[in-house]
Amino acid sequence: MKKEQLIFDERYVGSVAVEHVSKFYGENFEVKALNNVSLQLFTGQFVVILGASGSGKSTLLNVIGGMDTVSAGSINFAGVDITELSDKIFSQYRREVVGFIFQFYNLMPNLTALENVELAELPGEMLAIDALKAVGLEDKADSFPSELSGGEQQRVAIARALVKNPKILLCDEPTGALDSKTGKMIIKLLMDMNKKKDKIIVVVTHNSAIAECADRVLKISDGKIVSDETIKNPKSIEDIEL
Amino acid sequence: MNKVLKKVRGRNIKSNFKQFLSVIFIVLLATMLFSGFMTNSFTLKSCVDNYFTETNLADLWVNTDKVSTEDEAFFEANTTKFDKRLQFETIAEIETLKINSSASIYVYEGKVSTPYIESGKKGCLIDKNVAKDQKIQAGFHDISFSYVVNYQGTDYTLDFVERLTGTMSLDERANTYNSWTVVIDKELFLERVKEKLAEKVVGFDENLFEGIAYNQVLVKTDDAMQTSTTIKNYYDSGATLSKLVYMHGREEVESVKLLNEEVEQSQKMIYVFPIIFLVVAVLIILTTIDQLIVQEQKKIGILKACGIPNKKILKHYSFYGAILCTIGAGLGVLFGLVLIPEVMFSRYGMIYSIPEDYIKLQIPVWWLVALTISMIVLGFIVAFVRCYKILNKNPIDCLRYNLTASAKKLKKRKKKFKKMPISLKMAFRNIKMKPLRLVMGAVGMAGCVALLLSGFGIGDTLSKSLKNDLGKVFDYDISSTYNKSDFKEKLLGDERIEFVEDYSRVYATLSVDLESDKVYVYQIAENSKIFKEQLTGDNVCISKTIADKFGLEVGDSISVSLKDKSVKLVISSTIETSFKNGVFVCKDLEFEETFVSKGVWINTKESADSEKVAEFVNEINGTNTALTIEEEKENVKGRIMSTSTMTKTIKVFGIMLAVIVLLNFIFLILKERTIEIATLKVIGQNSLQISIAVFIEVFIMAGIGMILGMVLGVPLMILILTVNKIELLNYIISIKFVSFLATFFIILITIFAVLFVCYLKIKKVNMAESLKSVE
Ligand SMILES: Nc1ncnc2c1ncn2[C@@H]1O[C@H](COP(=O)(O)OP(=O)(O)OP(=O)(O)O)[C@@H](O)[C@H]1O
Ligand SMILES: [Mg+2]
Repeated sequence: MKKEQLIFDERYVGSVAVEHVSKFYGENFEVKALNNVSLQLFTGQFVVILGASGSGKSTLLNVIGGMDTVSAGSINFAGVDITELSDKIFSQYRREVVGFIFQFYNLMPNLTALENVELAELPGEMLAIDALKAVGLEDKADSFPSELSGGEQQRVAIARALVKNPKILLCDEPTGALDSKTGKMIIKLLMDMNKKKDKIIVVVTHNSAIAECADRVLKISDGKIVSDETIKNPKSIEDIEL
Repeated sequence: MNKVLKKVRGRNIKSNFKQFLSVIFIVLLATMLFSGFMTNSFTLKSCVDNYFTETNLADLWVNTDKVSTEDEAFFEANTTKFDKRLQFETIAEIETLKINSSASIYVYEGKVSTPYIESGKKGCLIDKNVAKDQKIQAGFHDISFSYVVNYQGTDYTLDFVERLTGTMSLDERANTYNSWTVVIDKELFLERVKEKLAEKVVGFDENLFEGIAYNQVLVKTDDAMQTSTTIKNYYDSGATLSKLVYMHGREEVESVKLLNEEVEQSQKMIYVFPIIFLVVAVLIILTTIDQLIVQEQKKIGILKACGIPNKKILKHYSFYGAILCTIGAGLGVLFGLVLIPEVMFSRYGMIYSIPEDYIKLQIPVWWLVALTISMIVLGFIVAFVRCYKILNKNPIDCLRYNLTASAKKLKKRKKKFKKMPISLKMAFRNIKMKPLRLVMGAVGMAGCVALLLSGFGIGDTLSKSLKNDLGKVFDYDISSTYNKSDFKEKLLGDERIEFVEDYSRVYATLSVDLESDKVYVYQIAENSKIFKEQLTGDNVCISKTIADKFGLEVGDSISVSLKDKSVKLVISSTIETSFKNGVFVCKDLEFEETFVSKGVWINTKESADSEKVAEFVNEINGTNTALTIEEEKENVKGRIMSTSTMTKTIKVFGIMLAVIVLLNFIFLILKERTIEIATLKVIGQNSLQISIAVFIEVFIMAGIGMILGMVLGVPLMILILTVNKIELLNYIISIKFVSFLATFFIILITIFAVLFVCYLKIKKVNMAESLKSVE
């Protein structure tokens, strides 16, 4: 029986518990993209996930963000097992709880920057134009994605995630396609978003330099978490070289 | 969020404009045909009904030798309404125009079967189509003819020269495009007769003149069967001195029969070919909308990733289907009801003299509303179903759509592809990735090819049917009626004429057991050089259609009767005929002279121009009834106009559909592959090299469609012809090899034309722009 309502237990808001999650691909489930992964994420954390190509980083992010289903295990957010949600509530979860930033932006090509952000606007939260301002793109509000540079497109994508003030912000290689200067700016933007420490921000990256300014660094290999470090005094983004 | 979704919708319409346009266009074509032919049929029906009601078309025609005062009293008492009439056939002439023709002259008051006056006024009226064709002007031209009157026991031939006062259409002669119909007012005619008698007869006394001998009574009645019995009893009883010659009802009036058949045919038209077209169109609409939505997969993925509820996305995309079909169906219905009846009626107008006042557009509103709504629902459902399927996937799968789909399907076949050239490899992989699109495209093409082929096939069938009768069964160059005794001598005196053969024809009743029907009986020379089947002595040949209708076989006996005379005949052979159906004998069955129409068949010498000879025949005959075999074919074609119109429409629309299907297929491919194409360009392939992969795909699709269509075309043609059966013509179904070739080449040319457009499009792909594009 799938749950028809999204009622969070207030006591647990702000934590995500991934329990024994596996994700298999292939006819005989021979590809184990995630292999019995368990971990807990807490509000206020800026988590960086590192790992070689094909190790399962994106897969982990996707299942947490409700973009993909799991083969086994459960994912709890605020006391609700999201793997059990009905389609309707699942999209409510994506809309209200999760912000997702992709490596290749995934903007609607036929909407302007502002409209792309408006797409995610939630009543009572930030206005789309303010979100664009926050990423420094208010003057490009009426441009279409094809008229923006890669970095600008990524900033629109961030604004789109930002505008709904999500509890969980998942970023899959947000700087992967960008130069170091722009990349740095993007990371700074992400960190600034969490000044109030009211979000979980997870950033998947190949770039270990980024890890230096994270609160916590997870390393994945072959679908398994091989290390989980909490960093006491992360560096400021200004101090690192990307 | 809702506001933004609306914007997405608007911009999607812009960016997918070509596909949308093609969906709209297909919906438009399909609904247009349907609404047009439906409106046409309703309009024609109301027009014909109106015509016959408004002009008070008679229910019974009573032909007698003379209408006496007692007779009038009888009709007064036994009918709702009646009108006595003088009807005679004569040669009429308009000297100033140097034209003449056999004419039917009607002299009566016009209470029943009232002539509808098109222009001018009552007096001496001529059929409006004849006037138009021959450029005869009422109030300007005189018509001359002669008429024989009896005065005091002596016959006087009176020569009339009468100014035409107007043009008209006469309901019972609405289809006479060959001979003239003239209606003269009773009073006017009587006055002229008296004047002329006074000139001719010394001491003419008006009081001794018995008046005109009316020979026909037009009867209006509620119960034609009952009344006809009463009338027959009256004449049989001896209460009157006049004699009943022949009585018939509406069913024997050719114009009524033809117009009713035209109505029937127009009704069948709705059911046959617009429906077939609709089915083909629906298939194409299905494909196109389906593919449109499939292409939106990535966008749907993004929307889903943003957490837009499924319901909203579903609503959003289903709206596409609905809006496209709404526009298409709306425009189609509109164009259809404006254009098609217009075209059809201008053609009806050439054959029938229908008063324009009675042509009032009858719009079958509810049918059209139902049609529009079903198209909208169709569009909605297709979009809905496809979108629903996509929504069931995980958002991440939608975003990775192209990659996942290809990888899975291509894996297993890797080895086979190894040795092929790269373009062929690409084409095959693309097909493998989207087999459904290929299938749907092929089905669409098959529909178009089938339509085109059946169009050609119907044309072949018509010409085969005509050629069978005119050329095979009857092999002459010119046919003519005649009424002058020295006619034949004069004919044979001309050196261009090889030989002349007499024949005669009677419209008699054929009965077998209890069944009976009217048929033509041809009385032909023994061992005729014209008629294919050699008849001698008591031989009787009968048309296959008639034999089949009555279940007759060689050796069976039939009886043929006309008035009191009845002849028993034994069938000795059957012959396949198409419209010259009848019973063929080689002796005079001795039916009453007045009902037998005599004619000649003429074969000209090889070197002679039969058209010129026909003119010559008309000259010596004093009529224009001589027709070359080609003219006769044209006449028949005119009479089966609906069918030939249908043939043309099918062909044209078949080609149009093919163009849309192909363009649509190509646009879909190009849109999806802009990045791929740009990449190939960057690598250094030229436009032609890139195009070839697309061409191969198109050819495979069109090839499958062509084969399927060729196979389906023949049954489709047979289906159309069977449903669209008409009395006038028995279709001898045939399809020439040339028609297959023609279909093949027309489609091939269409394909090449479309591929050229495709090539230009590929050439135009801008590398920098496409590779940057996020789509
Ligand atoms: N749809 C799929 N079908 C089959 N295998 C898949 C699919 N998606 C991912 N995989 C496999 O799952 C494993 C994990 O993939 P994932 O995308 O999570 O890797 P990643 O760590 O994000 O790699 P990268 O750093 O290159 O993005 C890989 O081995 C990949 O081959
Ligand atoms: Mg990845």
